[in-house]
This record gives sequence, C-alpha cells and structure tokens, in this order.
Amino acid sequence: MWLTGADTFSGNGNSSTDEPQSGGWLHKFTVGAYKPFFDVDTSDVVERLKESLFPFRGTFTEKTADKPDLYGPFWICTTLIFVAASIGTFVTYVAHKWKKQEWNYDINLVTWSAGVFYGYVTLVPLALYVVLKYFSAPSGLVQLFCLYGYSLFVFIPALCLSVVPVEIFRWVIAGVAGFMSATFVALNLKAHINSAGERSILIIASIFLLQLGLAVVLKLYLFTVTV
Amino acid sequence: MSHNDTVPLYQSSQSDIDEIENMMSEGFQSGPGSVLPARPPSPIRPSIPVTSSPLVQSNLPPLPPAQKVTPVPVPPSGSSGSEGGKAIGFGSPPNTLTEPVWDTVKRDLARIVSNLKLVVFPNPNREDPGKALRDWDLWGPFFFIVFLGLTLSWSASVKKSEVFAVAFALLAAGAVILTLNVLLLGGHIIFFQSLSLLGYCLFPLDVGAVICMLKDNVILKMIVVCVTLAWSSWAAYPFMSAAVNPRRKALALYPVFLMYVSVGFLIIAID
Repeated sequence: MWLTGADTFSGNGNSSTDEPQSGGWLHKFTVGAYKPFFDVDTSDVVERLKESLFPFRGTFTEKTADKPDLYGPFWICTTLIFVAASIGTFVTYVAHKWKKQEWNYDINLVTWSAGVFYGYVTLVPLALYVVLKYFSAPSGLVQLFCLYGYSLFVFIPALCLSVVPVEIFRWVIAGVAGFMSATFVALNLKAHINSAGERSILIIASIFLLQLGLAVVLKLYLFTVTV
Repeated sequence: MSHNDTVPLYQSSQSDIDEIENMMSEGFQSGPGSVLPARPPSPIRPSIPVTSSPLVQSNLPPLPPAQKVTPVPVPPSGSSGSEGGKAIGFGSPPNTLTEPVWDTVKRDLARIVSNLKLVVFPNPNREDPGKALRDWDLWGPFFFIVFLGLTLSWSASVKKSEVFAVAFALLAAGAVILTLNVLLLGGHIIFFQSLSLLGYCLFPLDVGAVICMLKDNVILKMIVVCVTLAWSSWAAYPFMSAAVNPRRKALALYPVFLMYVSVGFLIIAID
C-alpha cells in the first residue's frame, strides 16, 4: 500500500515498478531499491537548497514532484547535527572560559542532537502521511521526507549566527529561522491539502507550530548556558 | 614411509589411515564389545589395557615409532618463532595454515605498510596506480580506527569510555554510510574496498591526535588538526571522485569532508 502511495506521486517509472514483487519484501533491503531516490546531480541539490531559503514562493513541491530525493534530507540532518553539537560546545566553552571556570566536553550533545534531528525528520513526516491519508488527501511519503529535510536547511546558517553571545540576538535569529522554516513547510503543503476541506487549516496550523517549536527547543537546549 | 621429509601433515594423516586399517582388520577378529579408541592415545603408556588388550598391545610395536616421530616435527613448525621455515602442505602453493605465525604477521604488516604508502602518499606518476585498490585489506583500517578511539579516550579527562564509544561508532558507521552514499548515487565501488580506503585515509588524523594528546595548546591543536584534515581529505579525494559520475562528484565528496571535519573537531574539543 505504502509503495503504491509513493509511486503515484513520484512520477518517473522507477525501477521498483518494473519488477513486481521480484524479491518480495526482501527487495526493500537491497541498495537498488533506494537508488531512484538518490538520482540527483549536484546542480539539482544546490537548486533545491536555494529554493528552501525562499519560503514564500511555494513552488518546492512542484519542482520535486517527479524526482524527490532523500540525499538532501539525510545529509542536511547530519550536517545540522554536527553544526549544532560543535557550536553548542563552542558556546559553552567560551562561556566557561570567560568566567574562568572548569569546562569539560559534553559528549551527550552529539547523541542528543542526533536523536532530535533524525527523529524529527523521520517521525513527523510519517505522522503527517498517516494523517493526510486519513483525511483522503494523500501525499507521497518520500515527498514529505524531502520537504521536511530541506526545510531544516535554514537552521544551519541560523546556528552559525547564534554564536554571538547576545541573548536577544539569539532569540531573534531563532525566531526568524523558525518562522521561515515553518512557512516553507506550510505553504508547500497548502496547495496540496486544500482538498481536505475544513480540516486543512487545522493541519497547516499544527505543522507550522511544530516547526516553530523545534526552533525554540534548539535555542533553549543548545544556547542556554548556565555558568 | 620416511620420517625426514617436510610433509608432517601428510605424514600423520597417512599414519592415521594405516592405524585405522590395522584396527579394522584386527577388529573383525576381536572379541565382543571391543570398542577401540579412534587414535590410541596410549601407545606411549601401554599400561592402560582397558579394552581388548591384545589388540592394543598388538598395535603397539608398529605405532610408537610412527606416533612418536610424527607429532614431534609438527609442533615446532606450528609454533611461533620457529626458524624451520615454511612447511609445505599438500602440494606446491605455500600452505598458510602451517606456516609460522611470525611469517603471517610479517606478511600482513608488509601489506598494511604498502597500502598505507599507496593511499596516504598519492603519487600521480607512480607506475601502478591501481595497486592499493586491488590489494585492500581490513586490518589496517581496524587498527587505525581503534587507535584513534584509544588516543581520544586517553586525552579525555572525564567520561573516557563514552568518548571512545562515540569516536569508534562515528568512524565505523561513518565509513559504512559513506560507502552506501556512493553506491546509492550510482557509483561503482566495492563495499569493503571503500571501507579499507577510508580507513587508511584516517592515518594523518591518527598522527594529529597523538600530537594533540602530547601538547595541550589550543592554537597548536587547531593548526595540527587543520593540516592533518587537509591531508586526509586530499588522500581520499582521488578514490571517491573516481567512483562516481562527474556531475555528482561534489555530492560524494562532501560527506567525506564532513566526517573528517567532525573527527577533527572531536580531537580539538577533547582535552
């Protein structure tokens, strides 16, 4: 079921439809089953990244409708983990050295931020997919992963800018990044799920708030230093 | 059957076959309920006539010479530190199972060193650029990853085991994910060969980590890490970029760079 749901929206006749149940469910464990989702060139990925920085255009889903990729989401998340862990570490290091206090590297930052980012990009699109299917406005699962993955790209420059030790500045940056990211997701889904009727506003609003919530959580955990 | 040739394995198996034949031919004439041991252990101590004593004792005279001589040449050639050289097994190719352990270790070390030189010091006009790719092994990468984890763990002042765990997991999982990334992008690379190459390219970072462990100055650490990071990336570049379509080269190389940067960061941050 889920395979057909993804196929109707990833329009290229990818190889998984050429071999109907050739290995059955075991085929899902081969590398070949996921190759169609990595069929992008460098220029495509750069184009999509630039697109994600302009949330008010709302054309992302059209552009990625026929070739949604999983390369972007995965590596954006991984980069985010690294950037978040390193900047968080750097911020606490500077704060401790400023107050001339003992500082030790907190290895839990890496594991914590890995859990947050991977979990967010995996679970929220899954939940959204189920919700949308329930409201009869189905969207491809890979499309949703792609959308959410690229929506996190704006947090990378935001985290880099958050090194500045001015609290107000950090809140402003977090707010702006969260707003941009949330608008990106909401607007790109809006055209698609308007067919869901009166509940569509509710869904869009909750997605928006969820993304804002992520930004707030990031700001609070990574940059609140109690020395 | 001469006892002086250099085929002890063959020798003992032949003597086993002889024993069994002897026992079978005599066993048919034996009394009831005689269960002979598969290889009579007691020829050296004939005073254990548990069953069918006439049979055991009748086997005794021909066996001790064969039994006593054949075990003797086998242990020295199987043990380490023998100067007896390689034992030839069942034919002309050298049997690596019976060679001295030191020879095996020396051969593996030689291969690790040669692979290291080929991978980490890439020389564009070398005569056989594909040699490292054909002769890959996994001992070198394993050693380098564990060494880096240990060095980071020694440098850390708290939570040493967590640091080792994170470093090891990051490097091992990172190598696997990088290889999968190349495969998914449509590149042509053999899985273990890529693991091997990525492991060898860690060598400069190992050197950097040791230097950072010995000297604790932050500025020095940053310089050392930057230099070794650039060296590692430069060593990994030819293999990774040759494996994928040129339009996707950056997509394959960026994750390699990301992994080495994160390892470098870990080296700087641990103090």
